[in-house]
Amino acid sequence: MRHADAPSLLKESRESAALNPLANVARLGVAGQADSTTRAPVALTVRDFSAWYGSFQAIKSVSFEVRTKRVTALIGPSGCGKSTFLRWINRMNDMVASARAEGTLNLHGIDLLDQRMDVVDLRRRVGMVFQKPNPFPKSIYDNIAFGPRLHRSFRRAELDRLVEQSLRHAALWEEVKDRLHDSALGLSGGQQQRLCIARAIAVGPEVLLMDEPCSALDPQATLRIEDLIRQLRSEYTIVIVTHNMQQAARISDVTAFFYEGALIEAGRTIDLFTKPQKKQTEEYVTGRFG
Amino acid sequence: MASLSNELLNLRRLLLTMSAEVEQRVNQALDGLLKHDLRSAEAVREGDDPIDQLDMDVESECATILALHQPVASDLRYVMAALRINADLEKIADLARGIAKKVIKLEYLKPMERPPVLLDMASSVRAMIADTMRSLANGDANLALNVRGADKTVDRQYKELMTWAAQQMSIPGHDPKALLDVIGIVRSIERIADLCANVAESVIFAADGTVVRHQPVVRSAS
Repeated sequence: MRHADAPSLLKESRESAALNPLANVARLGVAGQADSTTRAPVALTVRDFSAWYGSFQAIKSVSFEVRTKRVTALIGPSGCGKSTFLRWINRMNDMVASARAEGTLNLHGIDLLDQRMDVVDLRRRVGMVFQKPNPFPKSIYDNIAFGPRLHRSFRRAELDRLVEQSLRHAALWEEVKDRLHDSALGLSGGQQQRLCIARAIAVGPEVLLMDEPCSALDPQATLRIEDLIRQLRSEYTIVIVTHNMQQAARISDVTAFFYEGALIEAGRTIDLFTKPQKKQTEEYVTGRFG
Repeated sequence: MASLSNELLNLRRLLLTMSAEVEQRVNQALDGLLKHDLRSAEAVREGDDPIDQLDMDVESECATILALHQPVASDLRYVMAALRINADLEKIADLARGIAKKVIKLEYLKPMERPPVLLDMASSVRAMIADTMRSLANGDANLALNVRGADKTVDRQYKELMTWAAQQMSIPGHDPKALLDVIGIVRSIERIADLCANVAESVIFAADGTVVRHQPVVRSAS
C-alpha cells in the first residue's frame, strides 16, 4: 500500500531503471511489492481527506488505504494530525464544535462523513482504546457487559459467555475470572487497559482504534498489550497511534508517517523502517528530526 | 551513553581504519610477489594482531549500536553492512598474510618466473581493492558496482593462470612444491577479488538498500 504519490514514485523508478543499473536489481522491500499485507482487502479508504479545527487545517488532503485484519501504525511528531485522523474514523470529533472535514473516509462502503450516520452504530463497528485506561467505576463484569447491553437485550447465560469470550480475547480471563464482580478500578494499569480492549471488542467491532494505548503502562504491561494486539490482528482491523517507533516496528504491518498534517509516506512497516522512500521519513525514523 | 550519531561516527572511523590497514597489507603482499620485496612480505607475515583487534572493535561497536540504539533505515543498513564488511576485510587480511608466507617460501625455495598474466591479475586486484575502499569511504554505490564488474576480469585471469599452471606441470624439471605455492597464491588473489566484490555489495546495500547479492552483474554506465 502506498499513498497518493505512489504512481509517480513508481514512474520515477521505471525511468531511473533505464539510466541507473542499480535500479535493475532486486531491492530490499520493493515499494508496492505484492505480499500478504498489500493483498488484504481494503477496510478503510481515505481520499483527499482534510480536517480543520476552526481555521486551522490539521489534516491536509491525505489519501491511503487501511487493510482488513492488519495493524496500521500512525507515527509522526506531536501535532502532526495522526490523533485527529484517528478520531475522525469513529467521529469522536463530532464533540468538537469547530471540527470539520472534507474528502472521502469510507469504511467498507460506508461514508463516515455522512452527517446522517448513526454514530452509536458506527462506534459499535469501530471501537476505541485510549491513552489512559478508562474503566467505568463498575465491576469488571459490568464494564464488559455495558456496551452489548446498549445495543440489545441478552439472556444471562448469553451475556456470561460474551463477557468470558471478550476477556479471553483480551488475555485477561485467567487473571480476573474469580473476581468478575469486583470493581474494575482495583485492577493494575495494564489489566485496566486490557479490560478496555475487552470492553471494546465485546460489541463485535470490525475496527479497533488505539490512541497510544501503552503510553501510561510499564514495559511489562506494554509487552502484554503488544502481544495482545498481535493476537487480535487475526480478527480485527487495527489502527494504532504511537509515539514509540520501536513499538510501531514491532507490532504493525503497515506504517503511515504524518508530518504537519500531511501524509508523507505509508507502506509496509518493514520497508518504512529499513528503506524509507522519503527523506523526511528517513530523518524522522532515525531520530534526526521531530 | 554516547548518542547514536557519535556511535555511528566511531563505527565508521573503525571500519575505515580497518579498510586502510587491509588495503596496505594486500599491497605489501603483492609487492612481495611482483617486486620480490621480501621486507614487505615479511611485514605482512609478522601477524595481523591489529586487524584482529579492529575486527573485534567493529563487532563490539555494532553490538552496542544494535543493543542500545535500535537503529532503523540508513543507520540500520550501515550497521548491517559494517558487520559483513568487517568479516570480509578480516578474511582479506588473512589471505594477504597467506600470500606473504608463500611468497617468502618461494623466494627461498627457488625464485621462479612469474607469468605475465599474474602481473595483470595482481594489478586488477590492486585497482579493485583501491576502488572498494574508496567506495566504502564515500558510500559510492556506482563505484561499488564497478568493483563487482571488475571481479569478472579477475575470474578470467584466474582461469588463464590455471591453464598456465596445468601446462607447467607437464614441463619436465618443474618444481612441484613451488608450483603448488604459486597456485595457492593465485587462488588467494582470486579470493581477495571475490571478497572485494562482497564488500562492494555491502556498500551498495548501505547506500540505498539495494540487494545485489546473488544478482547478475550489471555494468554501470559511468
